[in-house]
Amino acid sequence: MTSIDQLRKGSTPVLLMAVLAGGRMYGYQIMRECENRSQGYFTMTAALLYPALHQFEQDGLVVADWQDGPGKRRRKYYTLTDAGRKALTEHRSTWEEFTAHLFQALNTPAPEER
Amino acid sequence: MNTADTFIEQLSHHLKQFSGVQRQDILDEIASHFEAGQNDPQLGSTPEERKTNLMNEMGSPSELGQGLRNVYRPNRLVDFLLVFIPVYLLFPLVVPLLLLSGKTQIKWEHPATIYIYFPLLNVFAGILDPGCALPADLADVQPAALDKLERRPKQPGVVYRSAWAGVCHGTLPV
Repeated sequence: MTSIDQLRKGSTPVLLMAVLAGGRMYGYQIMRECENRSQGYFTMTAALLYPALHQFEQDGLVVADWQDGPGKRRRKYYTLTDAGRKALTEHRSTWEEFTAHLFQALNTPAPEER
Repeated sequence: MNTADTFIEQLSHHLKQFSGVQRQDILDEIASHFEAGQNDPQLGSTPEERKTNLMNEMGSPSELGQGLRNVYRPNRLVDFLLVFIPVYLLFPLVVPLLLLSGKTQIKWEHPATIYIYFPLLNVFAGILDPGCALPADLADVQPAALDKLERRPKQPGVVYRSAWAGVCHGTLPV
């Protein structure tokens, strides 16, 4: 796995929670919304998406319910819970802090350049 | 059989440790994912193009199955037994080592000592006779505390709770 893949995988939970903060959605819809929000940068496979959603459900960060879809299949919709919103806030601040420190370190000139 | 059906069939194979209802819910969810993708113009202008793009973003059935097994751990009883049985079997070896180290003293003549050697018996005793008061952990098994090993009838009006502390089980009045 390349470093960018690892970063993408690491950012999956916060991204999914941010998408679900916008409202109740089903798996395929969440996948498309992640892609659209990032202009196609954040693409994920179903093999990454569904275990993450099911883990959220186990952790009480989302609740799921089934509803008939427009086709033959029923759809499983996910809704962010209050605990999920709290987790999103925490994840978001962690990422903001991480990226701020990362760019601070990256943009600090080497000692001989100062 | 189309590619979506093949994917679902392979995924089902990777979820065979799940209960029937749980497995069916997961398969239904993935089937609805395929259905949504096959009707989504964002994925391509033709059904074939949509099908190809959809399959590309599915990942593999084994990867998905592994991810879901990691979440639900359907083999957790087996995992538990794999840890518990060796610990249970090795436990009688640990007690003599503790005794040799001089860190604990047990009155061997006391019949309840068997619970220390065979903690599973202690668990059953606690379940079968919740009124018996046993030490909550090995540290309590000191000569001064041996009185606690005596079985006492339940007191009327006293609420008892179970105390599970790794190796021993007892019921202690709250």
